[in-house]
Amino acid sequence: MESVKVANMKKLFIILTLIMTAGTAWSQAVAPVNFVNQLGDKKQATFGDAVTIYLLTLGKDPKGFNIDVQALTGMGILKDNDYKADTPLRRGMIANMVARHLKLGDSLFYNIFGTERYAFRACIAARLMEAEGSEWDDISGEELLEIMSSVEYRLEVQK
Amino acid sequence: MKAIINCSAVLALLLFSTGINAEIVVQSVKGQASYKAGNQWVPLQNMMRLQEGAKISTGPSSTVVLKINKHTLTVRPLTMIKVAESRDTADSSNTRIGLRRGMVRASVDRDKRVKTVFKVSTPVATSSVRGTEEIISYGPGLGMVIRVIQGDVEGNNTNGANKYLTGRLIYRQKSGTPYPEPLLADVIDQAIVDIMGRGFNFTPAEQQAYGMFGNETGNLTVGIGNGVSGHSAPGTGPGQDGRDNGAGASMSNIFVFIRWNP
Repeated sequence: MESVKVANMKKLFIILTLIMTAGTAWSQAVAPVNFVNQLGDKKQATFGDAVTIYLLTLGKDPKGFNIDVQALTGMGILKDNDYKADTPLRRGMIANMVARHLKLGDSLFYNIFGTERYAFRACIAARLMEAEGSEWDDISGEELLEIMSSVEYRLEVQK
Repeated sequence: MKAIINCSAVLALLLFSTGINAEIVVQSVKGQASYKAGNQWVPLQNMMRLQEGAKISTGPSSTVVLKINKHTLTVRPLTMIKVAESRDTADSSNTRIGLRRGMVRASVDRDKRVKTVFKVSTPVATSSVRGTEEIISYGPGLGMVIRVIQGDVEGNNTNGANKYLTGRLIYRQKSGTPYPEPLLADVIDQAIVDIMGRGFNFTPAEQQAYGMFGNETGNLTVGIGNGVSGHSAPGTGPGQDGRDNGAGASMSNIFVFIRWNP
């Protein structure tokens, strides 16, 4: 009687482990896509969104805002970051990250000053952003995805 | 025993009934990609069969290759599409894709005996592939961009303005503008970017050209041509009244070459 109970417990344990493993695998497979879909619906992207999507694009798992910022700083994509995770994302902020990452050296003024203003101009010249507007414009989640999609394409072409 | 067989038959029917007539097959999945089933996003798997109306979304650094009828559609990262129509008969093939955001690469099977319609629609324009390969992207900022890889493509915006694209031309249609950008705008932009990127590191051919024409400074000649006169190799000669393949601007001590990509 006792051995039957132990055997049943073992079976139950195995089944629960399998269910939990499958659940984790499922959520890992869907999580980035869900993040992207939710970001696509956002009317205003944040700096935190930009950091997360950038890391995901580079094939790295986000581990929290501060650690992610450190990781991007280590890769030279961010420099002296003063922005918080919930700071509304502006064109200039993402342009600066993109220009550093892709080493857009086509803009003479960006090479000299390295500011968001000229990073934005460099991104326009590289056809990564639209020419209308300014570096101060807020951008939506869908626009951020468009920029990151162009970055991925450019990286692939560069390979 | 009979009950087991019946149960198996019902299960098999449930499992495969969705794919009996489906012509959309997931050939490969790299990274994370999902399709919408009801209100939920479900991970895509290799050799999965989808039905007409399927919505697909890809994550960062993720790609899905779909076989739709005889055509191949590569859904690139951060993309959302809907396979709006997919019908294939002996003499016709109709495929319509709705591109909500991101980028797809379409490779269209061209059979002269089959009337093939392969359209990719975005909120601002529709691309009709006449054969055989193109890359289409859409986003709220840059609008719809069609890059022709092989064959020819027709870009048709919501105002009914058509453009035929062949070779390496690029079609760009932004939202809110009545006409697409000039097809050669991208070539000129690329040339300017090339100049800035290279600085003054001239190639031997450019140095030779500079040696030949470098004294012609101060004449304010600016020319862009496409090789009508044919006596200058691409990108190695200065522009002379817009006749040569290389385009040049010479004034003071600045000498600029605009080169067309090979």
